[in-house]
Amino acid sequence: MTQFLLQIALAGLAQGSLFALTALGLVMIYNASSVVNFAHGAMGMAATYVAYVLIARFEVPFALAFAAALVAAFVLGAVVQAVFLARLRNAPLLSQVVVTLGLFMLLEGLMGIAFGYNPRPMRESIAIAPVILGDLVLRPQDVLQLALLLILGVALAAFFAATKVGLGMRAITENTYAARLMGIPVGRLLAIAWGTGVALSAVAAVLAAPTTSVTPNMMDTIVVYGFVAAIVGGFGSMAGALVGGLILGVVVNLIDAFLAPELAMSIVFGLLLLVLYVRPDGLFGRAQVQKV
Amino acid sequence: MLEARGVTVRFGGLVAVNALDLDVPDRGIFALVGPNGAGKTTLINALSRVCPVAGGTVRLGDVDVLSLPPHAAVSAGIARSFQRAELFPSLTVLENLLVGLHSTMQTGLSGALMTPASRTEEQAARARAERVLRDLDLWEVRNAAPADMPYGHQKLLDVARALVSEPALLLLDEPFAGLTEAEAPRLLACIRAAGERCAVLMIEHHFELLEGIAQRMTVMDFGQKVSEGTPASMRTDPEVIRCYLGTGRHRTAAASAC
Repeated sequence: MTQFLLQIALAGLAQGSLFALTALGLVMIYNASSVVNFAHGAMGMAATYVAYVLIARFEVPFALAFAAALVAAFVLGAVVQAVFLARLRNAPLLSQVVVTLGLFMLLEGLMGIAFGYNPRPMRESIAIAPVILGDLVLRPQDVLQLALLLILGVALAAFFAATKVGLGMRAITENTYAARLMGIPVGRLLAIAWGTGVALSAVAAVLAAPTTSVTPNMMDTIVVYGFVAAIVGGFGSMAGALVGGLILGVVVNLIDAFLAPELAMSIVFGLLLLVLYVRPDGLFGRAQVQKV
Repeated sequence: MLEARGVTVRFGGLVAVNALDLDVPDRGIFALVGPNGAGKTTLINALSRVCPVAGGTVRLGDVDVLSLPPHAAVSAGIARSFQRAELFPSLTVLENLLVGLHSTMQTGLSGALMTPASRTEEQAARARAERVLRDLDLWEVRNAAPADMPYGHQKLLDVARALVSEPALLLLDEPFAGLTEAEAPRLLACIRAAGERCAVLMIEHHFELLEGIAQRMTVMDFGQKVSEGTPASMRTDPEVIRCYLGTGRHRTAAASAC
């Protein structure tokens, strides 16, 4: 039984890495621009079609197609910020959020028109032997997901701690007005934050594609869990998003194994209410104190 | 030198700064004084590109300041502090200063890779930040978050962040407001030193303090220049007495620092 539980937990961590990657992107965009990006999953999905077309029609190797999808996602995120949201900088925040909702529906519709709604299979991304850890087994896909989460988590931490651009983004998060007056090109850094955030969504989407197949709504469930992971982590904390995603993956996998997959979403949201009741600012969030 | 001609700032129907001319030489301490609502902070905001200017020209050396986007003002040599400290509350004191050096640093993403160029640049930036923090007695709290510091320290940090970029024109908006008697002398010494390297244009209400450090002062009222000259000449100027000085006085922490 213990071994079975550990296997479930391990698979859950791998699944949770997709939620964590999605949540990291959401938090990165939210921290920089204060906008909750409801098009986050759809933008990752749209970039996945780039990888799909390159692999299925042009037989491009997976790694190259993956890289192309990330570039496409970065450009998509940066353009959405620079073209649409920058113009709405002084508009009510709700207007900006509604733009992302509209974009979500637009992208799913456009991809549906272009590629149809039938799932299109994506082959396994890497061909390595499963990793055996004692009695536990990790699929190659799981290894790739966890490894990428680890690498990107470390890279993001280094980016924010040790680069001028990362420090600039943290300054924008804290005080956009002062950041601009300190010589930080706020528009450019916001575009970079959006581009990077959407690229993280694309990492999750491309990695999920062999399991979900490529469809316009392939990210709908993952992005909802990404939101939950970000909230559990204390929306705003990158570390919280990462840990929240991994915890959520284990929880979802346990529900799938011991109850029923159809109940997972309902139970997860029930647990979310409980977590927020006990810790309103999430596990890693800090209470918002306003001095008067 | 700074050369402003006919600077006008409007907020709807209100003319906050009205066709104001101002010359500030390359070095020295210059003051903007006047009653509340005179347009002093609005003028500083216009010079630092915070608010749009309806008319006039501003040149700093060869640079047409009004053609710059706000974030380019620092690169052009203009740094400022704020009436209420505008800090990055969760970043450390040291990081706040490094943000102030953002426009002077060349290496971007390569910082994370610790390339020799980025290491050298970061060491130089940290050395500059350390020098300014030591001058203002803030080095001991370099790893603290401003949100956890007393207000006087926050004001000092706000000025330190402007100083660290080694600007050609340093704009200070009531830098002594909220400082204790122990903190004011440190800031005064820093401003005196800065005035030997660059032009300092400072809004300040403590006339006695300005008499000790300012070469010249411009008195504003209702968005216009009322008078201009040495502090001694302003003290006896009937227009300045009418609109600003009045007849009463009180000493403050900042005045005691002189």
